[in-house]
Amino acid sequence: MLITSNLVKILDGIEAYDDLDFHQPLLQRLSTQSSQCVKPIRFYTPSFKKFHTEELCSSAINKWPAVSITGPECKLQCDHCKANILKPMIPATDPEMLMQVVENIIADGAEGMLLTGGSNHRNEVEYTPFLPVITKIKQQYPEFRIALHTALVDQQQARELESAGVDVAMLDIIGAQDTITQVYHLKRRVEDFEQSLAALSQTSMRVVPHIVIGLHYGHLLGEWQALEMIARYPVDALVLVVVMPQHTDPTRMFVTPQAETVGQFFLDARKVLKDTEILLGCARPPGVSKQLIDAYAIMAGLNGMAHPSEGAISLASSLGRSHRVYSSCCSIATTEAMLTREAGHATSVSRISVANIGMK
Amino acid sequence: MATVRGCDIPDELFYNVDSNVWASLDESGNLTIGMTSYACSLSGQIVSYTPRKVGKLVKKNKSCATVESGKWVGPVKAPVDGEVVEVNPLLETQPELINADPYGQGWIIRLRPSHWSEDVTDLISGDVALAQFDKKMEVDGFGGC
Repeated sequence: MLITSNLVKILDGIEAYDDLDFHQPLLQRLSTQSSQCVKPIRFYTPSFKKFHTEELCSSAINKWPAVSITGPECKLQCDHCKANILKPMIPATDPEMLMQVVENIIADGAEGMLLTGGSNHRNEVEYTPFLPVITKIKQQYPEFRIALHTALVDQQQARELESAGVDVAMLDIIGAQDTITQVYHLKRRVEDFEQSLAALSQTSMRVVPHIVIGLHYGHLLGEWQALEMIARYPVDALVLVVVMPQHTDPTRMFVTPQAETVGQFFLDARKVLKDTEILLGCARPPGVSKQLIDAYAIMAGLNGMAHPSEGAISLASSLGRSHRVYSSCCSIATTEAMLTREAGHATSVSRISVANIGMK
Repeated sequence: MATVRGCDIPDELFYNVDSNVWASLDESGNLTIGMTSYACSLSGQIVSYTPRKVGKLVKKNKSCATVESGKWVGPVKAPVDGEVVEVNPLLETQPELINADPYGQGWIIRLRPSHWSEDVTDLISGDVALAQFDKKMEVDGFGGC
């Protein structure tokens, strides 16, 4: 049995963690989990962010771009994002443009895309005009995968996305009414989020809900309720992300969630969703916070992680967790079939890639 | 100030072109290191800066700091072996200074070189540096700052 002192010894032996202060009480709770979880862990390096650590270099440029059907615009302007997350995405603001974008990115080597857009005032992304071209894309390029951020949908909208051939449906689940009202400025209910999840779960699309940890101005509020809601449906995976204060409304006081608070939530999620794949998504605060969060995620037994920070791979190895790297979005490659297809593109992490030259 | 494809490349500094970093030795023998304006153009607006701590030994061509932008995260590689003697306190709250003033207030880290007389032979400056940057930008397909 791996006890806390062994875990501390492992952490001390990882050079990238020399400068980090781990939360000792959390490490005690994690040590039990670490010893029980020696399952493989998957690392993802989707290409919408170029990524290079001493352990890993994403060389799969352009494989998984992110596309926004509203460009950088969003009517909802939630306090935690203010549409900042849309800004670096490829705009495709009408169906013809979307078709052209897809043809261009396929020519550049893309195997799929993350499709999203800004919301209307009801937290809906208005995909209806794009459904025919999405259908056409999937018919013309059946191997091209589409992971789509649905936002709130009803049963009909869910069916329409399914009929168009969308592979993966993703949406943020919010468990606290105060967060919906104050952060999202939205006149919808917690129940609407659950009903969207229910509608999507009745389709053949893979359903991958997200929980934004710290959504309520950097504090945890409805996250546990969100976990309970998700536990009621046969989802394919849960993606956890962490609010990033640098994207938030500067007039609102967002704090960075403490890494140990996030780490504890990982343990809680693992306990509630014992048999569900839980992944750590791209969005999380940068720097030291990210290194700590990533370490806690590995120790808590999460199944996968996007853009692992420095030290993460060494830690996984030290804990006996075998690992492979996939160039896809984590939401897309979470079933055996997907993983088998992606395995053709996966790389072992036993080598350190230095394919990067300079900053490129 | 010399420029290459619109990117400022001061010709009095030392460079490791592959790593896209500049270095400047001061009178006390400490080496100040930073990202070139070319590197800043590639990375986009920096939002996070995580240097190695003071007192740590860093190896040549290994990370002495990690920086992150909206579209990129990666290491700033030390051009020499050395010990970290100072980190830039301004960058903790204003990482955007790296882009705004890469050769001035946006310096990344200061090292005490372990083997300066040996390691300096791997660095270049002046016209040689300008020519190598131009070649690198050509190979990279870089349109300019």
